[in-house]
Amino acid sequence: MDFSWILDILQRYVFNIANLQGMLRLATPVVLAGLCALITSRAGILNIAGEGMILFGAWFGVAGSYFFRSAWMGLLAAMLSGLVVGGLFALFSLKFRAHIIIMGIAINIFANSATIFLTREVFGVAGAFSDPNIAGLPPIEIPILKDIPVLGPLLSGYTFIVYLAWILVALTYVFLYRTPWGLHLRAVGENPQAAETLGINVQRVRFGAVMASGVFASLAGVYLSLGHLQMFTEQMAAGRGFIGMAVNTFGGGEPVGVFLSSLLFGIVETIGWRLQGERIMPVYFISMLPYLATLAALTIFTLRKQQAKKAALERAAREA
Amino acid sequence: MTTAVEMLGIRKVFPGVVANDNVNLSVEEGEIHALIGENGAGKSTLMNVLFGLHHPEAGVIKIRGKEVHIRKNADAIALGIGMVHQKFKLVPSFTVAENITLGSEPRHRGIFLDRKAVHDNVMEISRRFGLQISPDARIQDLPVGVQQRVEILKALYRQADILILDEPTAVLTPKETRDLFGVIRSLVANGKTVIFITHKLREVMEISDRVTAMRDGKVVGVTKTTETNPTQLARMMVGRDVLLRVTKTEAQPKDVVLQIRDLHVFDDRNLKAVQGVSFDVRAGEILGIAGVEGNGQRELVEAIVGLRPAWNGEIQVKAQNLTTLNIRQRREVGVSCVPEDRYVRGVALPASIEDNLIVNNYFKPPIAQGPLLKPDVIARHAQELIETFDVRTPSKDVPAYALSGGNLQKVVLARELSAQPDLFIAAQPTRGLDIGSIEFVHRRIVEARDRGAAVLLVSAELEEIMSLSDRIVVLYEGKIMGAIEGARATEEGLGLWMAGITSEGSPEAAGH
Amino acid sequence: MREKLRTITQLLRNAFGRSIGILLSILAAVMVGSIIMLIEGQNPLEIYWLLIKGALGSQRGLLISLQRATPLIFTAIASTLAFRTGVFNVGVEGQFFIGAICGAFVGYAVKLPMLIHLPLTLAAGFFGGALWAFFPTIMRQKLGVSEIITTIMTNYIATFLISYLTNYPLRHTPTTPETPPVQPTAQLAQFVELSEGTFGKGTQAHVGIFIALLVVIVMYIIFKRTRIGYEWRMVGLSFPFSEFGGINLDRTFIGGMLVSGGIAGLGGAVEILGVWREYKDLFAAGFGFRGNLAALLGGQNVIGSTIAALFYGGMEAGALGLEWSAGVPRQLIDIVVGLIIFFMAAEGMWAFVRRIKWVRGSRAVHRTTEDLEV
Repeated sequence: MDFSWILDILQRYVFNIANLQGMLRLATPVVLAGLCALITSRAGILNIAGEGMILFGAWFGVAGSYFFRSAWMGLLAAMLSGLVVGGLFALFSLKFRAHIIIMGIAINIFANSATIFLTREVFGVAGAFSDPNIAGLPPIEIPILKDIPVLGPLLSGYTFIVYLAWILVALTYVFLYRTPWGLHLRAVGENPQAAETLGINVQRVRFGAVMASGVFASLAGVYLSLGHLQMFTEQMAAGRGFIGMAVNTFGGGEPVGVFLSSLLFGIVETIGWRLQGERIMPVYFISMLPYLATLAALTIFTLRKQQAKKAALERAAREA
Repeated sequence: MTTAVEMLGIRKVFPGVVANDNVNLSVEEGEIHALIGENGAGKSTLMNVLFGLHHPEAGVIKIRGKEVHIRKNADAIALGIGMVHQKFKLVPSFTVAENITLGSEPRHRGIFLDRKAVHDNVMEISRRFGLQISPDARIQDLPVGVQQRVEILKALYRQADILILDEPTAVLTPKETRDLFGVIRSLVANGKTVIFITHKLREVMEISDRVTAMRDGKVVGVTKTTETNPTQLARMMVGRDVLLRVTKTEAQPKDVVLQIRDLHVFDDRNLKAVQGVSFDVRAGEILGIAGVEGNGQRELVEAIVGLRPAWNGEIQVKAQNLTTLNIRQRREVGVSCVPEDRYVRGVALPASIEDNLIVNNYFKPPIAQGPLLKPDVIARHAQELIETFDVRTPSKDVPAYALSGGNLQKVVLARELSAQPDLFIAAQPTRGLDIGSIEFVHRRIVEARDRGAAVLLVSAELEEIMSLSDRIVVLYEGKIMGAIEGARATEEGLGLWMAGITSEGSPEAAGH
Repeated sequence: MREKLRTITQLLRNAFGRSIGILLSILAAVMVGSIIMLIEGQNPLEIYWLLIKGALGSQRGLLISLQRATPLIFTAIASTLAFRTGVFNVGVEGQFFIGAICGAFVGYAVKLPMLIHLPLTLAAGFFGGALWAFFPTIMRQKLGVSEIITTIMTNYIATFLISYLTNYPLRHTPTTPETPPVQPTAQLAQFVELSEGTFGKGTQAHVGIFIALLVVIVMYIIFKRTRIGYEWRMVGLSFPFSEFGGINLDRTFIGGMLVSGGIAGLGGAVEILGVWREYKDLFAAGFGFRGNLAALLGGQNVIGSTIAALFYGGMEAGALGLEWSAGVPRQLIDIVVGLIIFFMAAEGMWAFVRRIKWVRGSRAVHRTTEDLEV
């Protein structure tokens, strides 16, 4: 049998510089959304409001950039929005004891309407807002590295947030496993009573986690609105908040796992774009791919977990 | 010798219960002091007061002769008090060292965990007290006995001199128990004071220097261990004045209704909770299952009712195999149950009383006709049961959470008994109820028997078991320790079985 | 007797405490809304007045309110049914769309007498929606995957699937992505058609509202008077209790979710047959999500959700007018409704109300399954 066609396809759709670049770009918002889900889930909080936080981040990124003519101000405005939305979410669900799922549903729908409303009121347009005055984030060329063949184009020349996402993955890892606060956060998530009896303020740790998740999500939003094209589109989060949750599950709640599973989603999306260019199948099926992939990933993940559980019981029975 | 802990006139009231009533406790420095009593006697409450988890309504606490005010957990820790809870407070995915140092970790440059110091500190402390441990192992991979050692080290790391162990042997195997005793002895040799909560008398005799016995929230005796014996301790623990005598006639046992053979059941942690249990219950008799909680009773009941799979063995009701049936099918065969978790499984708290009363018959006539419910029948059904079972409620439409515990239990009883069961299971049926309700529940249980039901009564209350049961079986570590006619049982005898002691003195010989 | 009295007053306090909470929530939301308007340089009093006038001030306004409320009633009831059984079906949006396209397809592709065609078309909508709810339901019940992620995913998949269908196989005209028009035999008559232009001029209110109200009545009866309704209620209130009582949890959850999806789908079909009469791609997104909100607003019960949907529809109709006259985007309404829900959900926020002696003891007990895998 001749398998060269597989290699051919792999080379064509995956392993070439342009595709890998696309993968890293498209994975970026998913990485950040995944970190948003990670930091809260590790603290034992079911945060489904990531989608709404991303939308706010995207809108305020554009607004900040437009009014101050500076992408950095956009970034700052977005991060502030993330802190505010995260803070409100934490305040309502942790302090005021609102049902956290209801709160999340409400925030997501609210964010959707609020950003549409704001776009119309502030910019006076419907659907999408783009303007030459919105400053985009410039690509960063890394000296020396950019001149190395293959690695140069692969790793250099992305916008700031792409690198920031990578750094944040590393920082999250260091935070979780190398700092006392990370230890506290994980303890709170796994056994809040244990943490409590050792004098850790569970409520405060969770508050912090939700605020951090707001910042992560807002960065994902800024990337969507300022990373590539400088525009805000209604509903531009497009489910990435939820895909982030799935990526976090699939990545086992680990920063590196989140990063790698996000790359997987990046590949799926890149292949989609590629296929679209070749007009092999209608664009709509390609657009479905990330969502289908999410469902598939969750199915595989839970099936495997279920099997492991069954095996554990059988093992216990054999030993007993 | 100085006094390490002195608690004087401690009073702690929970809604409806006086958990500690003018309790005095005095523990000498360097001794192993056993605190014994039945479930609900107030031992844990007293220790939670000492550890700053509960706030007493009255009383004085002195530590090393000085009066102290323990407002919170951290105050107690600062005073050198450490507590190992029955349910460990460990983070499963963390390493031993991380668990021990959590909350007061050595730092490196202010922001990083100093993992080497974490490791070294733990090694140092484990060497000092002779508690062998590998600091980098993960809790989830360790056996229970080692996890407990981690809990002890956690207290020692926080410089505890006074160590409270809450039923430390409840979850241990005999070998682990022996190891623990070794650890306790070495702690005392290192100048620590240990308060040991238990109701296993054999252990009290083996390890302690002095004993304080509690019953119904009061201290009923303090004695040197060398001056007492298990029989005397058992009498102290359970020998309360019998307030409630149930009048009942001689049982008239008929055919076997429930037949259990070599039943094995796993608990949620994949450990064997019921190990090869066999017994029969006949129509017209009450079989009491006595035993300290957590010895497989819950899993046994869940396996019969259908909430938990039986791994091995037979469960037959009226010669019909239950193991392949689902919960509803079992109920239709004639099984009814007053569950242990009254508020979780017994009722749906937000649902109306009326709705709570029909969950076992809403799907069949006369309550239902085809897919439709018949509201007038349901209303009448509810009204009847409320009256016959004397449920004190303004109407059948109030949500269950509006009722008191006793009335709630009456709702459960009414529903389960109205099905005219052939097998009636009552699991801890009077826990937390007032005297009046207890009497009511007892009367109904005897009535069910006299009507011809086979009754399986599971209770940790010895008194209840003794006054109701026609036959008694004692469960210990998932096995039957012994069986006896109700009339011939003595509190002391059962108490010893419950504590894992057979008449020959060794629990292992007691299987069957 | 004394005990009896005490419990009755207790219940009254509970009810009172709850309605006070809702009232305060609405008040708080209206106030935050006013602040937004003030920042926008609008007069809040004027805006609210225009809103109410637009919704209720004329026959036309009332009918538009009704027309906007019709699909929301379906999606609100669908959400309510799922929420009540303890499932957070946020896939109502997608189920609504799938029901709509199924209705549109059977509506134009089949030629039958009206008596058969119309019910068949509606049934197609129902089954389409149920089918769309099926996969997330199975994943939840058999694998323990949170329905929140999966139903959101199926929403997106539905959107793209429908875009494909209206752009390729079902496309009617070369210019716009839309299906051929629905046969007259499958249309739901608009009031203006029935009255030959004398009633409901300038509106598209249609007889679908009666189907919506029928669904409300049927669901009300099902919840109150049937075995399956009892099972749904009990499972939602306490699944450990229901399990112990012998209720088949799988069957109840799955059945509830499928019917929930079905009702959403039926709503989609009704909207197509009554208002649009052909499927335009992305004809009106948001009905599902607004239904979710209306269900939360209505306290997750059938009557409450219906009232909330009518209220929401009215506010939308008013807001449409507002958009024309005052240039205020109609999303303002969604914002205000969202705010009401924030405030309502925040039990602890109204704790001070409970501290007043005579309303003490009113705490919502309703809690649902939160131990699912995410």
